Amino acid sequence: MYSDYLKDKKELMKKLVSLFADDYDYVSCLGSDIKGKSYRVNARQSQVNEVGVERGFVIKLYKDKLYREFSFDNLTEDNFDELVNEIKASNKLTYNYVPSDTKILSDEPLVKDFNREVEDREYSDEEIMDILTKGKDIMMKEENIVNAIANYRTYEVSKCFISKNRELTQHYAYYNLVAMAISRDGNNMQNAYKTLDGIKPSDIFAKFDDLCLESARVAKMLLKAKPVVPGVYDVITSPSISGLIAHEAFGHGVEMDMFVKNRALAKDYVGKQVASDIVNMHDGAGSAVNVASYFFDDDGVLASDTTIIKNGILVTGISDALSASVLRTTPTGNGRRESFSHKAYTRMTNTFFSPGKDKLDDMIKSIEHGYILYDTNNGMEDPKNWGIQCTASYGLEIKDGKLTGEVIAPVIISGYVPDLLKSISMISDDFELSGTGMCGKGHKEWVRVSDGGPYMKAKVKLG
Amino acid sequence: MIDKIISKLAKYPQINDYRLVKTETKSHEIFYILDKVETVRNTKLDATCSVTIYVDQNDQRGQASFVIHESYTDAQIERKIEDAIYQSKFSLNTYFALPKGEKREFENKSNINKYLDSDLVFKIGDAVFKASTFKDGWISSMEVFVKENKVHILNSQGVDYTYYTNSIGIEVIPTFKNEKEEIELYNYLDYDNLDLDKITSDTYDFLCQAELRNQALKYVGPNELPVLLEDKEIKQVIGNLIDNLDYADVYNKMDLMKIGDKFYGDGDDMPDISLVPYVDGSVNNRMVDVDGIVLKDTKIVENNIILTNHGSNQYGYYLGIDKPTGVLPNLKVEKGAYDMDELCAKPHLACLSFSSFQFDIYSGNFGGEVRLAKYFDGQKYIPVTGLTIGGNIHELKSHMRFSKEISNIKGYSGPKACLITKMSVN
Repeated sequence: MYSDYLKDKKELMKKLVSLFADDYDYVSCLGSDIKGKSYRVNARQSQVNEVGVERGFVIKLYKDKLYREFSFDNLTEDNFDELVNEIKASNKLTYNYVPSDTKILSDEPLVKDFNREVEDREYSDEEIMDILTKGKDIMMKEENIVNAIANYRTYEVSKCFISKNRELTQHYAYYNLVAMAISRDGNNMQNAYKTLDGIKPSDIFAKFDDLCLESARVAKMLLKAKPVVPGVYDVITSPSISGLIAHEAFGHGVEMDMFVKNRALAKDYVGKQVASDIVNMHDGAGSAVNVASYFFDDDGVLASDTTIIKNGILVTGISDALSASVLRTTPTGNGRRESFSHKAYTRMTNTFFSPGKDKLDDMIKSIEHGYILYDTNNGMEDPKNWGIQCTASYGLEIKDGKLTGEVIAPVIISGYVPDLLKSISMISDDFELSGTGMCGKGHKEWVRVSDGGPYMKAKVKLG
Repeated sequence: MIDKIISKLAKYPQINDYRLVKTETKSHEIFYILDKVETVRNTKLDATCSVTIYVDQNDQRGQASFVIHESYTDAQIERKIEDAIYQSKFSLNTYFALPKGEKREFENKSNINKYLDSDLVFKIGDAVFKASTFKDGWISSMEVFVKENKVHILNSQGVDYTYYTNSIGIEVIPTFKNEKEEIELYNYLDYDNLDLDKITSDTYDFLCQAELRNQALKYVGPNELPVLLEDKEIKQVIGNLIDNLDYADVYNKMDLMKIGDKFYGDGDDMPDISLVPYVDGSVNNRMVDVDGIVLKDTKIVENNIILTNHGSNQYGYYLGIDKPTGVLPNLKVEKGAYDMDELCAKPHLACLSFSSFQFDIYSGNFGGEVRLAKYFDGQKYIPVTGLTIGGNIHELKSHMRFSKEISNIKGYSGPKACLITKMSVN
């Protein structure tokens, strides 16, 4: 249910916006009320805590080519005048500075309330802890497993956006479930985790036991893993690794606040071939229903589905409102804040490669010597130079079109982004999105994202 | 607000103990596009308090944490407490006692407060741009964050501690241009004190690195080579090994080394290692941990022998530790046995910037993609890029040599460089 707190504060937010409306060319106020809970069970402990809780506001003002923001977490009739004085005081700038060439944000009239229904079936704390405990026990029963962690997190988001011409509210929820198994054989210790996420707890819980078994199986398997012999290989990326490539290797490079700063090589490649012609890639809070799906972004721009790559051609990037105003493009609804107390940047949401027509079996059969790469470990962007650094948790060897049972771990994928994308020669008809990861901008500003896609055959450098 | 919460908690006899943590934050921020100001931001956050309650049942201790917001009515606070009491039944764990304490306010050692006004972020911005004097390079993006925090920790056993922290964070991304392309490098500079000249000097040094990347070539050299790591990566490698000596890892049977073991194996350079509450220049500095344990310097490794585990009150209690160390925020490694000249005398790869340096404590695998390194082929240094390094710490920890020269960064004071004598380079 949409936040009663924000309902109560709406008139004060409007009063605040109207109070600054005469003196500033643009005024908006974003209110945020987020509830979150974490349930965690491991071999020796259990915990239930509130996490990710957020309640506060940010006012955004524009005048003299400069944006000014003030974030605060208390808004009452009693403190209103004091707050207004503090905002005014913080905006009295006496220092001699040169403003950048920003433009006023669009503020097309719109009044609308959005709501994504939360599943009727409610799970009590006791039920959730029972499910997690059972999952933990499934993992612990397996040989060599020394610890197992089952973690379930809930998020319920309410936001209210008020500007001179817009009044928007939204409410939605999402859920993450993680099964992590830690295996040990002497001093050889490995871990594997599998995740589920989405907007329906019942769907997630229905698959949890299998997830736990798979996590334990992989953790045990990794005890026998060998390092990869560095080299260039034919690989098949699993949906998780396809998503990692979509997100890290290419997605960060098409965040258009990077275009504004001339920090992204992609700016020069719009309309040009950047991938093989069977590759299509999307991003958008409206492109899928997953953990990064919302109705409007933190600039009050409605969510959309952006086609980034179509048939191998870079079509466009994604943008927040401010970057779009500078670039004179239409914002794509990708302006996101870590919280109300952070700045909005262009951020990814649900980022993925579209499925193709190939069958995974045929893709395996087509490889003489290579690997299928599984499970995102980490990745880092390089938008200026399109260098890749992505790490898969493990890979399974393919020889003469068959899986050999040999395991490699860890697997660092490196190289040059267009080389990788242009080498994609087969794309499966599968499609999976995973939304357990957090995405940073540089090394900060963490937001929840999902990414994924199909299995893809490519040629990459492994190390 | 705190008094109100405590008076509400007192109405529930089921609650055996509680802990409150209230953090008040102010920040002043500035965001540049190239050398021009795009946005200035201020934040004032003082309306939330984190509460943990502890409810004992049959020799076990249940606990649940929640957040109270200034806007909550009495009824909403009571509802939160009652929900937490209910939830605590599902997190019944081995009993542990909370640390006892007293009322105390810790001195704020930072000088930043003296200079706090609306001009400060602009002055810091100017100090950064003052370093941008390169013919082929410029700063394409820069953000400044000046933060002041007041943290108040209380518990039902008398802990009533207040401490203050100040920090300056600067994200600097320079771009350099050569005949073929433009390159960039990322850095985030942290300071616990204001020194505008140091900011200029550190930025200049970093821009020199970016200029070097602009000249970097594709690495062509041996696939196995001694690798020189800098402070950030040493902190990560040594810090992860020390983290694994945490009481929690011992309790959960995930510790790889025990008290009395040789930390470095049979290495020839084995500086002592401590965890400490304060080192010059670290924005992690604090004299008390989140449970209210007053922190003090704790030697973890001496003469290559692991002396003690470390960690939080709860897990220390589980292990029967009389006085748990608390969660210490800084790693301190004593100086090594080698001059930089000695470390760098033979062919090696000096890694200056990674896109992301990874370390997996479980497997021991570490490494990453190198954005900039200097390859010394025995005669000259060649700036190189686009390569990865990798190794396994369990196999390599006896092959580490540390510099005598010391560096202080966020969360670390110790050797500025470490040569690992055998790593894979590709």
